[in-house]
Amino acid sequence: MTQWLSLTALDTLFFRGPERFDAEAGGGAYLSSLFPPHPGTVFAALNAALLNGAGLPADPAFEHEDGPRAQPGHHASRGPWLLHATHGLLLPAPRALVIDAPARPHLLRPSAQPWQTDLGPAVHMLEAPAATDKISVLDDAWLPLAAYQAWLNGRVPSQWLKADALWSTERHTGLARSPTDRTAIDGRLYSAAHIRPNLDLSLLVNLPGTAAGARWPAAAHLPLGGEGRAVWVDVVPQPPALPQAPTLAPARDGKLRYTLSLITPGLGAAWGVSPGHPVHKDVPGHIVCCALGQPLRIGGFDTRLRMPERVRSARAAGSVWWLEAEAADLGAVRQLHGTCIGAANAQGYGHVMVGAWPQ
Amino acid sequence: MTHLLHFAIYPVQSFIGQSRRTRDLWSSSFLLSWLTGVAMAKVLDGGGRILIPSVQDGDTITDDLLRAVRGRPDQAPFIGTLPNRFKAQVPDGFDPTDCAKAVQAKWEHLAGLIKTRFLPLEVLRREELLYIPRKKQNNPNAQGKSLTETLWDQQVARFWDIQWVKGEEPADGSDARWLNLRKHWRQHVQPDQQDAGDACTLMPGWIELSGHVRSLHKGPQDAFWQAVRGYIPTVHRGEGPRNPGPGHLNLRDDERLCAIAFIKRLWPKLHPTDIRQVLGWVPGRIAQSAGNWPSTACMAALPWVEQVYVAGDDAQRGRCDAYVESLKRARVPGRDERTTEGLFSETLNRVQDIAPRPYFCTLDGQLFFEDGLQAAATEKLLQPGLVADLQKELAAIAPGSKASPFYAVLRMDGDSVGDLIKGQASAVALALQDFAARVRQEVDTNRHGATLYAGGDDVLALLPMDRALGCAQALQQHYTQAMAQQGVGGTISAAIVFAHFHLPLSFVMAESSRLLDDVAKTGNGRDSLAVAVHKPGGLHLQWAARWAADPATVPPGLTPLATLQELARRFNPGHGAPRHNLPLSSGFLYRIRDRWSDLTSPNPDGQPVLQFPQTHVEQLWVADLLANRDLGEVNDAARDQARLLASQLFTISRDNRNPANAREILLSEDGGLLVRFLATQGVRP
Repeated sequence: MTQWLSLTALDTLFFRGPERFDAEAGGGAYLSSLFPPHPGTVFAALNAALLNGAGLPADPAFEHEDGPRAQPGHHASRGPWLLHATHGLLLPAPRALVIDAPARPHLLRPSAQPWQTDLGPAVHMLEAPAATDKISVLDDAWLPLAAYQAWLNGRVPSQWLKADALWSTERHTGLARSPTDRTAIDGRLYSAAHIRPNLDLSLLVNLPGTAAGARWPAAAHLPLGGEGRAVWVDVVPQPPALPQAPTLAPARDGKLRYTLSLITPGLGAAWGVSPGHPVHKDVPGHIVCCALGQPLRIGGFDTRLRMPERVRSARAAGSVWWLEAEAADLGAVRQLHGTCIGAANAQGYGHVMVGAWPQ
Repeated sequence: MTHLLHFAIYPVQSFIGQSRRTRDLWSSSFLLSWLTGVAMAKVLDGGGRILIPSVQDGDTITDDLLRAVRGRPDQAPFIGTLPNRFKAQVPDGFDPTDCAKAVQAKWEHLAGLIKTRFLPLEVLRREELLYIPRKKQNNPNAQGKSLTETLWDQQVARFWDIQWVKGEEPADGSDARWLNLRKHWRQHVQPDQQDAGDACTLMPGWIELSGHVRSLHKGPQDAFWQAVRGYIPTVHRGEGPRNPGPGHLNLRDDERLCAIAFIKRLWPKLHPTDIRQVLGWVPGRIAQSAGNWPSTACMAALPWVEQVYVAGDDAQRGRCDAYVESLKRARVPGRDERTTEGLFSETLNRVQDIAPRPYFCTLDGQLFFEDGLQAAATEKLLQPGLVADLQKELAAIAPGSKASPFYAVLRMDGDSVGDLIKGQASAVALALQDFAARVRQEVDTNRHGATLYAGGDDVLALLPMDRALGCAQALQQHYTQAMAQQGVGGTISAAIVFAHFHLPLSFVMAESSRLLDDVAKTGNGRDSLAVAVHKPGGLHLQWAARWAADPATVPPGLTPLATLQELARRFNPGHGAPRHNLPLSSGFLYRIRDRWSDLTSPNPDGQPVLQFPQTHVEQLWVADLLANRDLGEVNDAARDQARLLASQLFTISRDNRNPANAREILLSEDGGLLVRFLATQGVRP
């Protein structure tokens, strides 16, 4: 049994990337928080609280860094995404969505003309319909459900919210004090840019049940992220709808063309990105082209072992692949929509949406 | 048939910006420029021509760095002048993969030398220093590389992301967007780690080379890096391993680096023979040119050092020399290796005219600051009991005068150069070549700053804070003149970050990028200067203005920048400053700030919009200025001065993006705060 939960910040939040934040990093550190946090961060916090609250022993299935995938009876976690009081569910904008100088939206599409590039001798790169290079990717934007559905249907989304309309950053400064005389230690000044979500914004996650049947109580607070900052957790009674896959059909040449979009980061370096090659063993077809954001580095700290976890690369949420498959793959492609693939998919990494090529 | 090739090497910002020392900034910038030169040389060797940037006049190579890469290092260039991307015309059969291979081969050659010299087998084979991966622990007979060697090889092999696009020349110049299209496809990722490890202290996306986890194996980790430190000076000075050796200066006790950071930190410390073997020349001819750079503390203190030693009287210089003798007696480590002849030659020459041995002028930068002495004690470079006496002695050198702890980072970038190039590529290329050639004169020679990069339309430099605005304005004028001489109407934008020298350099560099892109260009519509002041506690102020004045609102000849500087001159910081008939004071500026919310209200974007006619606001400020009791009787001359001051203050406080047509006037209180900061140089009276 799964539960949908909303996590509303009671204070600022701080989620550290791979950067160091300790007293030896040079007498001062300036770090900025990630937001939203990576799926593993939220999953681990919720799961630990769930097990501790129920008085259950640590579940061995969760000892594995990729989560409880191997454990029968477990459901995969989903999210986190944003839940807005007015706009509802918000999903990360696909990197195919660009705006021109007057801020009109366009969708990138594979070029008709192939180029010789370092990726291969005949590569279809992405270009906007209007021949202009005055475009910029909406890489810090979020789409409401209807707008994301438009993208999956191959149409240009007409509405998006920029990150600065959803949360603000707040720089906190601290200093180290001498343990002997309690005075400030010279040069030991630290600064971290925390995130303050607007009052109408929450995180939305789907929590799997455990083998022992533990469930999240009606409402409770939870320490989440750096400094144990608190969020208020509510059970969402009405599960939010996720976008639907469009009706796909093979083209006249018998090829099935579709897009694959990440709505959570795709963990691991194994995601295919080369033209003519597959994205993943579970994804039918080969790559025609991609719109990929700056790769992420995701690590963490194992508090039980008191050591950092290994750092892995990840494809950013919002990354899009344009794929070409065979007509016979139609069923498999339909099945692909809404699943999580790749490493640690049980924690919610690698959540993909299937869409139509932009019209 | 010829083709066009667009070629680029990444990463740029993360490679250069992730720096702790000024030498890291220079060395990474130079390395990237040099590697681009290697790729360009391959194009030229293959019968191609470099079209952008302008590095050729016919068959003659005009860029010193590219000429040096091609085997003619007559100028021994040591400033990066080639951007990370270029456009070339290449023969039909030219394979750009050869350029990428040449870049990777040169990079690996350099990396190999660094590894041989500074990570010798004596370290890599000492098992007590190394982390043994779990797989090998389980199978003691397993042979192969240590984790350190594996990390080194992986990081060196997978660092550069080289992108290129080749095709037939389009008639409409649309090839200018090829690399931008290619950039949507960021395929390059770092390999997944096989084992947990600590992040590099300089480039945190990579694992430090010992492979140890500090929370579990602090002892072996420290031992590994201490052993490495022992080898750093052995090559350069022919000394045997020492523990701790002078390598401490190149790799501090708290620094544990990945291969990439290790290379960029230490390649300038290779023996000149090694550098010549890889590059073909020694940048700046002598090893010190590449190896010695002014610290940010030095750059901050420079105006004060010049004031008390170069322009000071004999008594002041005597107190400076006495301070040096006290430091020697206190056994503070010698002169700052980062401020010797190589870079600061112009400054030192001036000083050397006065004294035969200007030791004072080459002290470690933090020794010019009272809290720097305290920090030296914390770092165990100085006995804590001596700090108070040395602080008193430092304060007595020039009573009432302290070194400003702020230095400036200047970053400039031409506006919409891609658009300019489309129709008039050769004219723009010539203008940029002319502009880049003037940068070092303005920065290094005229203002004793340090140019870190000057190529095409880009400039990155460190400057003493009191001359950064003037430098930015001079370079802006050179840029527009160079463009005008070629019949092109190009403009340039600039960002200046005034930063406290305690702030991490990587943060300051990132902030200068943000200021240029988001504030000067996007926010203020280009052709602009943006200024930010960062104190240890955070952002103090942010100000932006167009270079040009609007004749409707600004008195003739007074641009916002000139007005700002004029107001700073009139500011009365308090004791010891020259008085004017009608001084600006902190009290007046703070009163303005306190009343800001009464004069403005936020528009839908949250920006403060003026709620009264401009003349009313100026009258209010005039009344406030004239209410100064120290003025005595208010006469017509004082009233005229007050009106002028109020008008000038309004000029620097208003949004001047499009003042003639603006339906609403946006006001910023940061203009007044910037006046105060410039006047006091951030030093508390």
